[in-house]
Amino acid sequence: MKLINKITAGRIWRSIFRTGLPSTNYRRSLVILNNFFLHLHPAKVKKSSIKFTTTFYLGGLSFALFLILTVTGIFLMFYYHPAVPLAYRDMKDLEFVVSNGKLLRNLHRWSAHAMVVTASLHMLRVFFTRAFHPPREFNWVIGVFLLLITLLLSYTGYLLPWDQLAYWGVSVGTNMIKAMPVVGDKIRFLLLGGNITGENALLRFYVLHCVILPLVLSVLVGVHFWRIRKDGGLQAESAGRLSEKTDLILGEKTNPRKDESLVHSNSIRSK
Amino acid sequence: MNDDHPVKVEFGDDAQVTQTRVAYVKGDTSIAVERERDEEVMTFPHLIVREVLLFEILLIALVLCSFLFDAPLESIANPEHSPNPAKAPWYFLGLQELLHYFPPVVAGVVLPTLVVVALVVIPYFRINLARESFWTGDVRKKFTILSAVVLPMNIPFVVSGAVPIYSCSAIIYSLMVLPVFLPRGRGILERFRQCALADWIMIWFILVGTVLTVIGVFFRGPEWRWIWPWIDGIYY
Amino acid sequence: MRDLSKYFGIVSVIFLIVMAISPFKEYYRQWRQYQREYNKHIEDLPQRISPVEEGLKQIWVPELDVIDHCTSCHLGLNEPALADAPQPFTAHPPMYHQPERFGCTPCHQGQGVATNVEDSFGFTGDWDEPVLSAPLIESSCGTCHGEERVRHAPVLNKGKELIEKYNCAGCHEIKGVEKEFTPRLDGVGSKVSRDWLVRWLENPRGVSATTRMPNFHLSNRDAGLLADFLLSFTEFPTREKLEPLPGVLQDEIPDSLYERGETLFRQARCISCHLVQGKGGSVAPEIGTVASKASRQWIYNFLQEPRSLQPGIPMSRYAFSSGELQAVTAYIATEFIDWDAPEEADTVAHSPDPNFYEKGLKLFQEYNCGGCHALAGVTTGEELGPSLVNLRKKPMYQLEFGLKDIPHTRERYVIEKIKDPRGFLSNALMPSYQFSDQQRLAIATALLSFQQQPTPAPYRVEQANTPKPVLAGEFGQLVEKYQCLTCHQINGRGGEIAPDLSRSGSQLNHEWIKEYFRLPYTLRPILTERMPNFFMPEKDIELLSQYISLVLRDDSLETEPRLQSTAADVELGRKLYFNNYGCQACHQLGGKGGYVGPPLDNLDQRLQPGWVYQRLKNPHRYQPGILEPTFNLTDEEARALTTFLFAERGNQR
Repeated sequence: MKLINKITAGRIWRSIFRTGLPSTNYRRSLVILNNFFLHLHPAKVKKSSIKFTTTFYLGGLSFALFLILTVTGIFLMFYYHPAVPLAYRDMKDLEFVVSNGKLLRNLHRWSAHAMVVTASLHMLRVFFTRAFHPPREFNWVIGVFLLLITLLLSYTGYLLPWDQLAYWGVSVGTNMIKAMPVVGDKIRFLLLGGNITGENALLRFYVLHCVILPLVLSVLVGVHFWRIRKDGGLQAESAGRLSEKTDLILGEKTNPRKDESLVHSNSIRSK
Repeated sequence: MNDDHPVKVEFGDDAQVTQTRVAYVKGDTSIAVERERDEEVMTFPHLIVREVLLFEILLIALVLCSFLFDAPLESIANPEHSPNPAKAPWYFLGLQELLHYFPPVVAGVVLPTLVVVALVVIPYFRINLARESFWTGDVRKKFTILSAVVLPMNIPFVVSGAVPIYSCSAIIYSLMVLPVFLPRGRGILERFRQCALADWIMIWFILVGTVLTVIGVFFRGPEWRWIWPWIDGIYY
Repeated sequence: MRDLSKYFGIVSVIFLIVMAISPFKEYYRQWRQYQREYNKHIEDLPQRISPVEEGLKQIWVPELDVIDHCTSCHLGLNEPALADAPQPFTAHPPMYHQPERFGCTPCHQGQGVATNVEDSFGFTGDWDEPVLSAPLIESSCGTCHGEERVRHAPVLNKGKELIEKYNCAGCHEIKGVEKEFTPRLDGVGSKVSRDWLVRWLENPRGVSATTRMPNFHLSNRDAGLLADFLLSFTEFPTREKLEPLPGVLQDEIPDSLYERGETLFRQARCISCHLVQGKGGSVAPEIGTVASKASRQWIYNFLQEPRSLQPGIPMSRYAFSSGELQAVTAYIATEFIDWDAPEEADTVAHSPDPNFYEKGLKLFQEYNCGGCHALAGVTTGEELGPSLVNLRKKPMYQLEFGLKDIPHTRERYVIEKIKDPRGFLSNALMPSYQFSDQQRLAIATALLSFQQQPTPAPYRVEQANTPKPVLAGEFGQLVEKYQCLTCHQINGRGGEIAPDLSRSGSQLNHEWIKEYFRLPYTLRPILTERMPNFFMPEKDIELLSQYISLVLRDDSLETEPRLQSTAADVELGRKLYFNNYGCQACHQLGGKGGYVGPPLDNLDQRLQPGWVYQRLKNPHRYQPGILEPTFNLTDEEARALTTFLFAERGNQR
């Protein structure tokens, strides 16, 4: 115990963990504020916001799934060649040879499906609780695009195993693009890198799936969270009950940024 | 969280002990400060623990799921042999089902675009912000308008034989209209009466989407023929 | 909050447990279990076998595109001590190919990359090539070995033989198998009666149990139409008309002629090739009821000049005099009548359908009769059946199981298809063959060896392309006339029924050859096929024997060992013959011994010592397949045995 105390009191330890044990509320807030990973949170949250039935944690679930997908996806990339027929062989290798490879692939697959579900449900929750009240309109729009990107991610990943299911599932989709007037063929060509779903398509889908779309999604997720934070946390529970007047909490119906208020809406002293 | 450090909201003047919460309020926003606040709790540990807990439960569920069900892997892609039926991923099967009723331009381009646009513009229309019951005010007038809009809107679906879509419309329309003809205060019907127009539209959208997807996943077999999954099996 | 921390604690523990499941499962994977079991198993054995180091084993053959993990569990393949060990540790039976160079799946198929039993055997999921069952394993030999006869693969060879014999290539595309169009049907109208033909078309096997022709299950009406169509072809390919019968054969046949014919029939040894009442060879068609099939005139003309009626058939042309010809015809025409055949119903004159030609032609084409029979003016050799060139690799979805309620595997498909061709689809046209189970297996083995994509060059073994000179000149004409190559081989051409004649000049005494042509006697009594008596004129005998003795030689056999007929050598030879090697078990000498090999009496009259000596040294040098064991005799022993065999003549006389 003494040793532990000595270590935790030492310079090196303190240089890494600045806050110390969160024994007081001050320190508890420092845990949040001083931590890069947690600083998106406010130091305090409304009790109603963290109630399960308020949000069903659907947004959080989607984000957690995104994290799981990122980690498992990066591991999968170690074993994957976006080439024909190596891609398919790598699936077999994952199944039979790679340690825990089957779990890795299964986790990635089921997480992807789950993320489509949770993201969609999240959207519905937001809609039915009217959580897109001004000034959060645009955050809703970002959310819609996040859902679309989630679908695209799932769809581009669908091709990568290069089995019959993947190939024809994707072919059905890309053939739909052809129906677009004027630009349909061009867009399809651009997406597939040719006129058929072949090796080029696999490579393009791979790059989209592993680089472009995750980057875009990450940025949009960041903006999405940032806006929630700047708009005063979750609107959730209150939104339905507040009349338009009480919306003024965020600085009237006018643009909140115009009034230059430094607002931590939940850090306003209540007493 | 042991007993020595009970977690509760603290107040104090010493900033070193209690977090000082500052609001830099300027001008006309001061009114907000007057408002009664919701009860607040410390993010750490209240929210953080919940988040970690959520993550753990999620991962447990996913891992168990992964042990129980293997991700599908069929034989290597063969461009010369298309399975019958060739189905898209499940979340696009609603669209693929639409292809069965409408020309590709409509099913593959127009309708999806409309859906995305509709979703994007939702927060910019007051009607979507309103939460009051659809049946407030002049019920007769609203009924007329509703019928006048709903019926013509479904004509294209009827014409193109999109049974699932116009059936859904019929169901939603009935549910909307039903409370009007019945006395008030009857449990679930009362909730229908209180439902806002925007909610009705969204429910219709969800219903159509779900029904189309379920049909696409379970009730379509070779040549996109109708099948009964408990008789012919699931083609997915 | 306190509740929450309780949950947090519980959930975290569960979380850690769940996270540990996968590594745990990894540690107990099937192949690891097998490796541990193997190490335990070999500890109990008396022999010392080095234990396996735990880890996934892999054979990678880039040229064949093979990655096999089979050896992760099949650990005792190269350990003879494990011959009786339980699977998967059992030693491999004699291997002709080292797995390190060839992998496992090129021969056994299955999913080599898999690491558990179900998936590696390939019976699960979408794997098109599950492990081949043992009886069909030789099909894999055929994927690399393109030789006509593949060593150590008797089933495959048998299958290829059957495919050729039954002319599968007539309807199916098969690589490397030539189509055959005999017998031609031109002139069939001048040969057979309508009743016979209808009976034949309805069920060929019902008429002749040994025929190659399959059953097309024609209705009586269709058989009649087809018969009428065929009977309209009365002209033969090389000549229009048959020679008229001599007067003596036109009426009642005199007994004396019949008896003379019977003697000649015996002397000519017709049953060496033809089956008669259950006796005889299988080289040529059964003739036990030929008199009920073919007209007397046709028989007479056929015996006179077989290939003028059926070009290309391997029937010898016997040098009968016209009297002998009449006698043999008389004998055949009276003796070989089908007494079981139904009474000919010629009381009612048959009037054919007015459009019999068109309808018959349609049937002829529908059932692809032209795949096997040539017929003037009708296209032949169309491949109406599905191609078989890639049966081994044909995607499973292309195999139509249709109405058949059998497991959907390639093996079962092929075997069942041969067994019951029409059971798969209601409109199938393939006729049914009555193969035995063994034959079916052999054919399936050969069929499953067909793949479009050849194996890469270093692994491919082609038929050695040694030049096979065509026999020309007068000798060639005689060989053609007597159809020697039906049974004998000369310079790589011909059948394998009788001895290879390519070096007979160095083996046999010239005088003996001549005698043998005059009156062939039986050298190997256990064989059915015997050398016929062709009644050759002296001129032919002289030419044939001269050619054999002067041209068909092998100089390496000429180096005659110095045979000193010393008593010591003879005694040593006698000891070797009777005591050391027990030759009398198979060979007759002095009226004693077995019947497996030819008798060795009077060897000096028949054989040349150089040959006997060389043959004793290495019996398999020229005839790799023969039964004679290799004793690895020393020069001394071989010389002594030769001396003994040549000296023994004196004792016999």
